[in-house]
Amino acid sequence: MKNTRLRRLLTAPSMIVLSAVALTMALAASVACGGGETIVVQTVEVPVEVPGQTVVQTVVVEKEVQVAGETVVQTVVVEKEVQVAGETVVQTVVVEKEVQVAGETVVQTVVVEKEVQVAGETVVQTVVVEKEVEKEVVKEVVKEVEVVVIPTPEPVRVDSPHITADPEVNSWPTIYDDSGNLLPIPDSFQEAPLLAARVAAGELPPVEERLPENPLVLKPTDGIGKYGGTWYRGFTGPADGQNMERPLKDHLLFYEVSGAVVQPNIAESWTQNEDATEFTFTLRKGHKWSDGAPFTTADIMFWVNHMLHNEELNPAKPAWTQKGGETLTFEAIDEQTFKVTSPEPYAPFVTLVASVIVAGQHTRGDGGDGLYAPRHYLEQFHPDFVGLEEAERKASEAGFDNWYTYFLDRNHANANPDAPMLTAWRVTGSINTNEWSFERNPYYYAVDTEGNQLPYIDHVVLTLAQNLEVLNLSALAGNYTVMGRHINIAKLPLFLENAESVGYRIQFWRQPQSGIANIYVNETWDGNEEIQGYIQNVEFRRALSMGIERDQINEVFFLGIGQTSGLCQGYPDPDNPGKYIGEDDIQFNPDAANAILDEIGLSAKDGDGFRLMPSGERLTVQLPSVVAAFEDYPAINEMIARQWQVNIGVHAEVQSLERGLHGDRGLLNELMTTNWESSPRSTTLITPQHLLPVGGGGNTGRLYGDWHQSGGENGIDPAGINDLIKQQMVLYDESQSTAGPERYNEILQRVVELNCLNVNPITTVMNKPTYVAIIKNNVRNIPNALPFSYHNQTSGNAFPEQWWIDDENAMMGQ
Amino acid sequence: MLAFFIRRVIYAVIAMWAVSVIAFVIINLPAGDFVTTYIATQLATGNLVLEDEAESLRDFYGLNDPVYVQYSKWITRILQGNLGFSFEFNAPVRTVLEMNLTNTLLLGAFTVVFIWVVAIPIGIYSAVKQYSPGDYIATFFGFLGLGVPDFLIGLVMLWLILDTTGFLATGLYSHEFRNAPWSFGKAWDLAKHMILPVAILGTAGTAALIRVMRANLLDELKKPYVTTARAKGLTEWQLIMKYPVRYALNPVISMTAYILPFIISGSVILSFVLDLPTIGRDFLRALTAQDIYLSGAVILFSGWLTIIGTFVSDLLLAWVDPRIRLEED
Repeated sequence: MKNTRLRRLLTAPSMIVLSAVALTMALAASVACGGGETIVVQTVEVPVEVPGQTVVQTVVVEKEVQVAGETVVQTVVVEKEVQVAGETVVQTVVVEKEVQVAGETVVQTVVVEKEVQVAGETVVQTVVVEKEVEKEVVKEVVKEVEVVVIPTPEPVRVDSPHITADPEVNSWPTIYDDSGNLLPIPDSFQEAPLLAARVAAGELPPVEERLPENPLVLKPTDGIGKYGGTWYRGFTGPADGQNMERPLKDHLLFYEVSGAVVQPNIAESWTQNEDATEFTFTLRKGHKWSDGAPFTTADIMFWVNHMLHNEELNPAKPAWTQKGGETLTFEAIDEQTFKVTSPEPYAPFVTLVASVIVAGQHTRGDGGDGLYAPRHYLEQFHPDFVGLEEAERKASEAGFDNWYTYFLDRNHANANPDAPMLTAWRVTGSINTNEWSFERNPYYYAVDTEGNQLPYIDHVVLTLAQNLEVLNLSALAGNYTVMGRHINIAKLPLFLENAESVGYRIQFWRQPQSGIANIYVNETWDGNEEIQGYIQNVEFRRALSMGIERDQINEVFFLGIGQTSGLCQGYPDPDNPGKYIGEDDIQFNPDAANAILDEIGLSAKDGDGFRLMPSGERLTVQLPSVVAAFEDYPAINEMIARQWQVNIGVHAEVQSLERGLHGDRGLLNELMTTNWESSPRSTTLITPQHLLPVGGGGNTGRLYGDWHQSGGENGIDPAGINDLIKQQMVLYDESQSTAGPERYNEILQRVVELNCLNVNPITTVMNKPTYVAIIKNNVRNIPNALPFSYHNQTSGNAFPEQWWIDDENAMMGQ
Repeated sequence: MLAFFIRRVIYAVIAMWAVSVIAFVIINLPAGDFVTTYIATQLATGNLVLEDEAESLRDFYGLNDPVYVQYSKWITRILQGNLGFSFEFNAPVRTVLEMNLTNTLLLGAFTVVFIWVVAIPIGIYSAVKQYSPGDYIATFFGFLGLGVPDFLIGLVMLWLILDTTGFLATGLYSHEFRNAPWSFGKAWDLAKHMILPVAILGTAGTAALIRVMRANLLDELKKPYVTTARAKGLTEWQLIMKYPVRYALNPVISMTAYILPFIISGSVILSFVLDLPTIGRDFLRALTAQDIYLSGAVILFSGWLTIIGTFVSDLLLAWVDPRIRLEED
């Protein structure tokens, strides 16, 4: 008995143009087995039948024959790419055959898996054939494979007049004038007619008394708005609190629109000392809760002393309050000023306070977190003030098991309309009901440049739609005023179709400079010394980058709505000084790429047109691809490998790996490259492990990452090998300890620029919209283009308090 | 009769205990727990949840206790009238269930009345005029209603109405009445919104009842006493209504057992599709979110209501038809 392991690889090097939707194809291949191990490469011509015409297709057959053991396992992989008049159909045919030799009878199983990718959809088709074959060791296999090519649907038109995304010039709201100073406080203040009526009825004090002494002055996106109207939205249930926490942004400090620069919000100012151990925050004098009670440092200290340090409310302290194994110290200096002291330098602290990580009572209050809490309201539920017995009695009367779950419920502003708030709108209908509703906060601390108290819109009403299909249908029917969350990007064609008749426009809210499918080159991969020399060479990586046709990837895999810019260019962001870095490297430029490759010793080619290294060995770039992850990485890599072969003669090998295996092999430094996403630029220092080899990451150099993580005990110091990566490490360390806010922001820019200079990762398609926002045509002042981020709580970074609805019911301020 | 009653009570109590165990096992069957699902939901909407945050959530909700400890805590509290705490709503389960109780009872009651009012006359007609064109039409629509799942009819109707009128026929109230106190306007608004779900839910139930009614009545109509009565000169109407229909209604009474749980769980999927604010919809959400005490309470009460319904229908049948009581003794 002879036992043979066969492996054949068929690839179609030339594109064939087909006009038919179905064709039948015969694959003929002969299998030869001998003793020992043989590798045969041969060329076979396969006729392809197309109704009305015949196309001859050249197929390269690679066969690998191995003999070992007692079972004959034979695998045939056929990979083909078919171009159909203007559209690309990628088609993978895997034929796996297992041949068992027992006596004289051979049982053979043939599994044919076909994957046909049609812009946006995948059709997988499996054919299993079992047959009994009588044979010796040498055999002939002829298999007929039926290939069905599904017609490609009409591609999504991104130049639709209903899409208003991605303009060349940004129009954003701001709190600063042209010279960078805070806008001047207007001389007089006006209010919404809804509130003016209540003032006239004696239910509310006049607007001057409700505003703090120095309100936040906001210059609207396009112009001063009119009061009135209701903002309709949908929500999916009690777990969807972020739905309104995002637009209400209850943070003490907040970011400007791009999410890069921290600016005042509830607090009017802040300072920090040289070594980032002391932070002082100043609240607004005369600032009031939505019920009219004063908001002072007593509300901060109530949270610190009676919530943060309470073992039942906070059994595990929030991570942001911990530094150097200790809890930060909070101290009130006067009614408006408080100081936070850290035992160790804690440079990111201010950015954390501005971000959703710390946030405030509305976002975090139900978890006992949130930095401040309405002391005057919550005292009546806290045992420190009313005694344990009374607190427990109130809780059990309300149906709660203990005082602390009841206390947290009372501080859960979304569910408790009685809880005072600081946000632009206050809750009037609980999130636990079928209609979650808000009304304007008469004590909101912000005004526009003419002194009109914000917000412009009177009410926010969210309708419960637990079923996302119902929510999307509601948006389609025009039931929502502004809705980005939960809108299904795959329904974009449907939304476009109805835009005109229903009367809404569509904006893409993207994460700036976020990669979807970057190719990270592991510069410390040491599987082959000669190849390692090349992957460590920035010029080699530049040539690979210039050999990629990014538009094709965008069209085939991302409906054409991604962007093909690089990490540094990704967004028309005026605060991005390094936006020209690496600009040329992301252009498709095969001539320049080939010139580089010829120059660095890769000018020789083998019979298949693939470049050879000076040793005469073919240079193969491995593209390990995680299956079933966020994107179809194996298919994307197949396309890239194909583009490199055709454009620059570089051979690439795609290996599909299960996610866990991919991770394990990555940690063992066995992956030459990794195909993965990267977080947006603004969070690079918060989640650094994608782009930087720090904090457990190591995509651009596994052993560099190990070196940083172990403090120099394991791995390799990049100093002298790649000084760009070394610089990233030094900058990252500084950002986490002593860097002041300006320096922190500078580092944030610089570390990503280093990625661009280093051409690692090689980016493909970027900035896929996170939200597809459906906006009624009469809604004004929504910034364009709005960058999406989590830490900056999009749509909060669009300052919804200055949005307004332009219809006959909108009223001018008085 | 008393012995019969006591025996039934004992059986019911044992069955209710068994149902509570099964309910608790069912809600703990899915892999992971509320926190796992919570994290997945947060990730899907672009939010991050840190690992230690997840652990402290588990401690907070008592999800790190062994299952039997969780069960005994749960059942003890329920016997004291405390249905537990809903993780997702961050509120007592009782509050959550009370929120949509009225809607659920109204929808269920209307549906049951719809089924009876439509199905019993049609059933009688089909049996009396067996193989007539009317019987065939009723049979055809009956089987169609049985065969097509209600959520599918719901989706098709939803799309048809949206496409023709631009109106999205979801929910039970218009926006202005949703959180408003009861008034004539609100009741009228509810009645308008009720038509579509009641008609859809009713269609399936109607089909079953028509067939039961028809089959029973056909059996009765062949019996000699009918011939005798007819020979004695009773009018056809008096004859049918007085005896055969009364006997044929027996199975309708035993169906009472299923009406009570049907009111809660009959509309689960349709409520989800049409976004009706009912306990059924909250139940489905609680199941997917692994909000175990909320879903547990609904499963438990559906089970208990079935047992109570069976108990009541047994008593009713025994009262209506002495033969049943005698057979039991």
